[in-house]
Amino acid sequence: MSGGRRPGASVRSGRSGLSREAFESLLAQLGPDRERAGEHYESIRRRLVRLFEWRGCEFPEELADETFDRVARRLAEGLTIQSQDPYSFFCGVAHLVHKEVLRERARERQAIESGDGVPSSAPEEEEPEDRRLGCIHLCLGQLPADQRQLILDYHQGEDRIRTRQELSSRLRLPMNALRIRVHRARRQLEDCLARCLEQAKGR
Amino acid sequence: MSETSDYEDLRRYLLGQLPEEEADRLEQRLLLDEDFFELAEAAEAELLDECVRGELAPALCEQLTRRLAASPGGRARLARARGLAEAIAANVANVANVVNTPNVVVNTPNVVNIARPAPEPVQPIRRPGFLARPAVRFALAAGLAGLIVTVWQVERTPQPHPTDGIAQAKPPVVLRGASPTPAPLMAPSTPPRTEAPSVPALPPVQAEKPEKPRAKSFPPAVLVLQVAMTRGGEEGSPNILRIVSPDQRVELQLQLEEGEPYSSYDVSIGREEDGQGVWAKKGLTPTPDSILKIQPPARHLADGSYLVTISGVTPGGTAEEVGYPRFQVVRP
Repeated sequence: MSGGRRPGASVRSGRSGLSREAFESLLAQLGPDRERAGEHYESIRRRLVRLFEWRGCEFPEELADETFDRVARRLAEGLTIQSQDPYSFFCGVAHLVHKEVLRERARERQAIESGDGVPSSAPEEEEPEDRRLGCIHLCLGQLPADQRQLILDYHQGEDRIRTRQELSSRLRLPMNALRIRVHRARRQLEDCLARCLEQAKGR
Repeated sequence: MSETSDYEDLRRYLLGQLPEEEADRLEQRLLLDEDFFELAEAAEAELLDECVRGELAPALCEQLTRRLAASPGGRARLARARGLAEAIAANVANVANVVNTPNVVVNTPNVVNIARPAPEPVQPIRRPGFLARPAVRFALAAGLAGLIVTVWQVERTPQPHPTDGIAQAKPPVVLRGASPTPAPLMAPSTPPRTEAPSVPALPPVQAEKPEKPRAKSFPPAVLVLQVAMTRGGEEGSPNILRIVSPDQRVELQLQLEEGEPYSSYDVSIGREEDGQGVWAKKGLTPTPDSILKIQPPARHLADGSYLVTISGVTPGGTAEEVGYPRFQVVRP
């Protein structure tokens, strides 16, 4: 990023402005117990990041932080969230942030078309195929046997719908509960994969 | 809300098919309800898996991957989904049992180490070879069957009709729109991956049916248009679309700028003289080469000048006009 401005940069520029008081107000809003509030914070942040990703945003983590900053500033200014759950307030602010990103993108696109271009960010380096597959191999081997079998059973078979229905009745789980269980096992696999790739890169 | 409905809504949301209001409501619930959020993650993983296996329609797959590929996290999940699907397809279960040997230990919950003194190198999973792919094997089987039929026909028919082959080998008429930068005349299309679940048996050779005489058909009229953010702004020679028959297939290839953030496009064509709309289509997705291909019926395009209006629809559902190329229809 040599001298260039990343798309949507101005939307995400408010991070530095968050005071300690504002942050404390935010945590207080999330729960009386500071530790639990911290967990809530992380949980909401993780979900906000994913929502921005699902909306096709380029820098979801920064947008999630920007959402928190704005909520925190409003709370520090004396705003009280009336709603039973503060989540819908976060969601509303996140929508505003997203709309601003869209508007900014449109402006930047026009700037590019008029010749006042913005340098694009360099493409990220992809993991080499062998390293990635080697890690998947390793991590599958480290999963507890029942979870590995669950993942493989869930994904194998020619008639997957029927296979999954059978699996659901065999485990006596509703289909969505089965999907979530498989997803958790898969997430373990992915966490292991991320660590493995990181280590392999460092070697 | 029922199980199925929840799951289907999440799939539609992830594919960008949910109306904006419903998407907003769903997102609120995603923030509030951890189980629902996990179900969304599961739905995303399944969609990606279907994409990798070629079980999801290419247009939908494109819709999903385009959104995810915008962010580093999304790109990482795409890569992982690809790797997992390949690993599972390669029936890694047996191999995984071999890998799960005492030389692999977990020292801490966060760090995976290969124990010494015998650190066997991790063998990468070999991807199934090209010829091992079910689709390839199916294609080979079908090709072999076709070859048998062809040989049989040649043996049976001593007098071939050479003109048939010439007529088929003739390239389609491709007209090129005037554009400042060269664009591919025919964008390479990406055929949908159709993977057969297993290798089917060789199809039985059927007796040949006598062919009916075909009506005279014309090659498609194809015109490439550059999409510029100016209303009918192209200077120079006009983009001419020659239509020789009302039944002829027409294809306009709209060359978009690369890296547009839109999840889909709406296109409408109107006559320049009076602005009267003649054809429109919504929810179009471009090819990986950023080309929107549209096929307005030739009967709707009389002689005259036309303006194409292209709007990009953001993942949030907002439509923004992105270009107005024009072209002229000429009939002999």
